[in-house]
Amino acid sequence: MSRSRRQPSKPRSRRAARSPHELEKRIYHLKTLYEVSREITGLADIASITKNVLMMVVGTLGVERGILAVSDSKDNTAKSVSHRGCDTELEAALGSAIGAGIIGKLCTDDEPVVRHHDDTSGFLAALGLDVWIPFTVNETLVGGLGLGPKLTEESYTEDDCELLVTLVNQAAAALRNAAAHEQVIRYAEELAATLKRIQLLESMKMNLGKFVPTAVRALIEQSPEAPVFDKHHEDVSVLFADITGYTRLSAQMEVEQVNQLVEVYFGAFLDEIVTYGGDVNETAGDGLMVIFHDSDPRRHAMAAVQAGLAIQRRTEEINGTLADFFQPISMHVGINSGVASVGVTKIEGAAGTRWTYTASGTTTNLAARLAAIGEGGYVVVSEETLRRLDGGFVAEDMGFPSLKNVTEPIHVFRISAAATTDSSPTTPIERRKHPRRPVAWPARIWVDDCCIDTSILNVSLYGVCVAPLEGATLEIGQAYRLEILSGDDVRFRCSAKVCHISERGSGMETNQPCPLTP
Amino acid sequence: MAKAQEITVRQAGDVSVIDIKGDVSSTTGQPIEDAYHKVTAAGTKKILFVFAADCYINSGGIAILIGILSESKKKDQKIRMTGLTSHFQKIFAMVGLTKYAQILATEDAALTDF
Repeated sequence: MSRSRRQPSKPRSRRAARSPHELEKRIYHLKTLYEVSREITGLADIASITKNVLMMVVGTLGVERGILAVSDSKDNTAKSVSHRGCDTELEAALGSAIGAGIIGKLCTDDEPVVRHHDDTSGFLAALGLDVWIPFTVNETLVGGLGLGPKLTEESYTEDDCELLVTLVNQAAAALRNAAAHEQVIRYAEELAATLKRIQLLESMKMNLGKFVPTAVRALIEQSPEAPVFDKHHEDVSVLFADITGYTRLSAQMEVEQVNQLVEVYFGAFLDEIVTYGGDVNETAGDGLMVIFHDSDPRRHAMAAVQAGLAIQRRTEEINGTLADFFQPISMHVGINSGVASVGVTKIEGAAGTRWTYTASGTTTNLAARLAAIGEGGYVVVSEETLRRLDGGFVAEDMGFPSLKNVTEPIHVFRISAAATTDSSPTTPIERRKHPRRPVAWPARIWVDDCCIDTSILNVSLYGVCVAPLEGATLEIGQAYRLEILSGDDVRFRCSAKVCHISERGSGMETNQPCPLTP
Repeated sequence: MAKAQEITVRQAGDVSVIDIKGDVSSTTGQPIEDAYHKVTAAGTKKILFVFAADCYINSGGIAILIGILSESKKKDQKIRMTGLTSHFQKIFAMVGLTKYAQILATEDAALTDF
């Protein structure tokens, strides 16, 4: 806060001895004070305040030359300068005084008004001023009001100085408010600009997000200032999917139709991929490369297969829906699981650098080759992927087909979408929440009122794996009566629903907790 | 409430007459300065300011007039004023304006005084 200037001292006897002329002048001064107060109250900018106050001071005291300057005391730069009756030479001298930081400091210890004859700096003489009243606006801004000789050629009286100090105090208060107002406006503008930048960044983030894999977004969000994209080895499942005969379709259809077709099908695929936690890494016209990450290698393999099967199911659905508009399409889907080099691949050229966040290596290459031998309605998986599914799907052995550029024999399987109706991404994963114990317990199962002897191969809290039956076939999704025996006695009885069937046996979910010990 | 200002310029022989109606203040002074500059540009050496009876002139307005008188002095122009109430005649005398511009009771008196 600025301090108010101390009023000049005045002998009491002189107050009583005022002439009618002095009284009239006094009344005029008071009127000016009132008008200054009224005029500057409504002003919110520093330049208008300095101009108006100076004009009223000049008119009240009848002077040709007047200066009201406000400067920044930190760097001695002019904030606002108003002057009357100054030629260019004087303006230059004023500029120099502001630059030298004089205007706010020029004061004597006791008197608020510096008179010409008291000024040892030569500042008043240089500017042709008789009086100078320095003032402080706030922590940063200082100012001064200077007046030249009066038109009447009279000296400045104590009354004049009292009026000037009061006017300066009023001006300082108004300038302080204006400075605060300017700061608020500045803050509001900065805030508006910041909000605009945030909106822009949000918009960029939203739009770039469409092109950026989820894994990359997660890395950036983990460490926004220095995201780590370095390549690292990670166990993943990679899914490749592409439209069978895309080139033929493209030749037969208009470009817009092809684009529309791709958008409809791939939009549906994307929903499924997102549902199963896949990260679309590449899209290339008719194809997708999707990476499935998970700390549990079985879980990402399961998710990838479920996504692949969902792609096949959605293809059939859309084929049916759009039968009147498009020829049905079929999708090749291939999945492989294993360690891949995951991270940024930089392609540097003279024109710049392009970054691609991907999974590369033989795991990925093999997934692409598996997709190439795929056919509609099936998901082709490697033996490694199938091994991780724990018999959760019906898989047909495709043997060791020849795969382009793959010299090592690869055991390949295919899983039918038609044979797998459970589209829930959680059911098989939920089923394996409890660890399985290998056992060899005698059991019997009722199929169509026939009791068939069998054995339990492994057991978990709510699941069993029943050995393949002789002379009977279980159906996926069907519940059967199951008894686990101890000698001739029934040790445990429950209802068990078939979740999957494989060569090794049938996985069944029980309706009550199973015994886990012999 | 401020009265609307009206500034007109007319010629009376070799005297440029600037008629001023309404309030004269720092914020409304520009038209008066403009009128002065206009007649100055036309080469006038004799200028008469005629203030209407209801004119109100505050200290900011006086500053405008001081500026004009200061400039007229440098340009060797003669300035006269008329129409001012006794109150403003006192104020003008108090601030020293009358040292540079004589105040006369009537326009005719002012015109013949040049």
